[in-house]
Amino acid sequence: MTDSIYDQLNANGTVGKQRVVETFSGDSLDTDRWHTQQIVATCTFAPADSVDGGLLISTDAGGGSPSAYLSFNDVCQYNPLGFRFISTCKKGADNNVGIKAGIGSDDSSATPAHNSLMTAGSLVSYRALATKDGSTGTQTNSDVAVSSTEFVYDIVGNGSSNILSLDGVTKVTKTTNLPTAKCQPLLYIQSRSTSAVKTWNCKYMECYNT
Amino acid sequence: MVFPSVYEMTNPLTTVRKQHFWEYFSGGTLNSRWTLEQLVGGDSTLVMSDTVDGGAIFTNQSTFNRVASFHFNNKRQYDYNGSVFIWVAQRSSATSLGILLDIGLNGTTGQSSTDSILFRQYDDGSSFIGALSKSATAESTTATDVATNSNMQVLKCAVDASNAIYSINGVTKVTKTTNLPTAKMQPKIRMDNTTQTGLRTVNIRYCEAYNT
Repeated sequence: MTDSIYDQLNANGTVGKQRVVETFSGDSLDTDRWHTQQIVATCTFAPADSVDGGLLISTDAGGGSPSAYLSFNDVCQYNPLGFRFISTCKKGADNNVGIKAGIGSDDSSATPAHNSLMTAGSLVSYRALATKDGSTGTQTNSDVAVSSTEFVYDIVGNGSSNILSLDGVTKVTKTTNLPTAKCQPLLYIQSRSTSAVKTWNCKYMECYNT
Repeated sequence: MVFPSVYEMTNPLTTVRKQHFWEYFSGGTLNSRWTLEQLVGGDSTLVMSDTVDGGAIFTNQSTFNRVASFHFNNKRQYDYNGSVFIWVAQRSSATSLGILLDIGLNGTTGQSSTDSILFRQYDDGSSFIGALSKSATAESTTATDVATNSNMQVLKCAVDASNAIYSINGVTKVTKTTNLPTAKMQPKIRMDNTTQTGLRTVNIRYCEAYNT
């Protein structure tokens, strides 16, 4: 047994690369780390008072597609040519919601210029991987239908491909329109189609360079 | 063994991990996940300690009648039916008449506790550290064989639907089967020195909680 977390994550003699781990547990969101970027109207990011609730991400009840990011305020430390993003997602009961999470180069628009994002909700019929290379964005669906079942996903990028796995099973491999600019972790919500509060929960996020 | 991710230290990627957090109490300021609640007096403090291995230091002032706690302000993500807490903590003196110190998971803020599992040091009541569990309103305490002390120690409790198992420094001390909690809980430390004057402190170096 080793006493060191560092030694459990990095081989002996290896200089560890940038990594962040967020457990979303506590009385409030760590706003020293996280930045809320409202895109339309008002969304909230707050700890859930429920067992295994983690972070509750909510839109307001208004129309006009309220949407927002949780980001690092455009502090971009992650390399799209060698990264991994691991997180959990539990969509709320209302299907009229757009969910994206992964890495992106900015938080100022619904689609960052460079990104690699798991997508779910009514943006897609199936959980999917969306990427954008600075100008062109494309999306590839998995074979897993969107639902409110909680799942773990990871996105691995190495410069030649971005791979999305769902619950430990590889589902999408994308080789086109991959991001190339430095990125930050992003969690995104958008209310779609109807005027009502939309939600999803995230209880873990880890991002690191490889 | 080298793990590729922190996630995979405790869960394979085929499993959605349950709520799990840990806190090192190291840095310039206390993480904003904690709420300090002044219960009596209003001048208790919880700040980082500028000492080797000091973690954070929770202080009740020497003035008579002080009670305070810190917790997640009723963001209760830990399951009475299956969770574990680990606190590494040290009180300021081995005995101090008038102190009541509770360390564990608790279902509420405020003066009264509800559903909880915790270690209790109550110098007016016992010479030994107690293992307390509470189901809504009914509570009971079983004494461990560890005398109240001022050592930094590892306090761990695992609870499920039928047992709460309390260990100190890696050795199981008490297994309780009655008055187990029946509602969601949060990490919490409460310190009460209502009956005597005197500065009371607790250093907290680590806290971890997770659902099983």
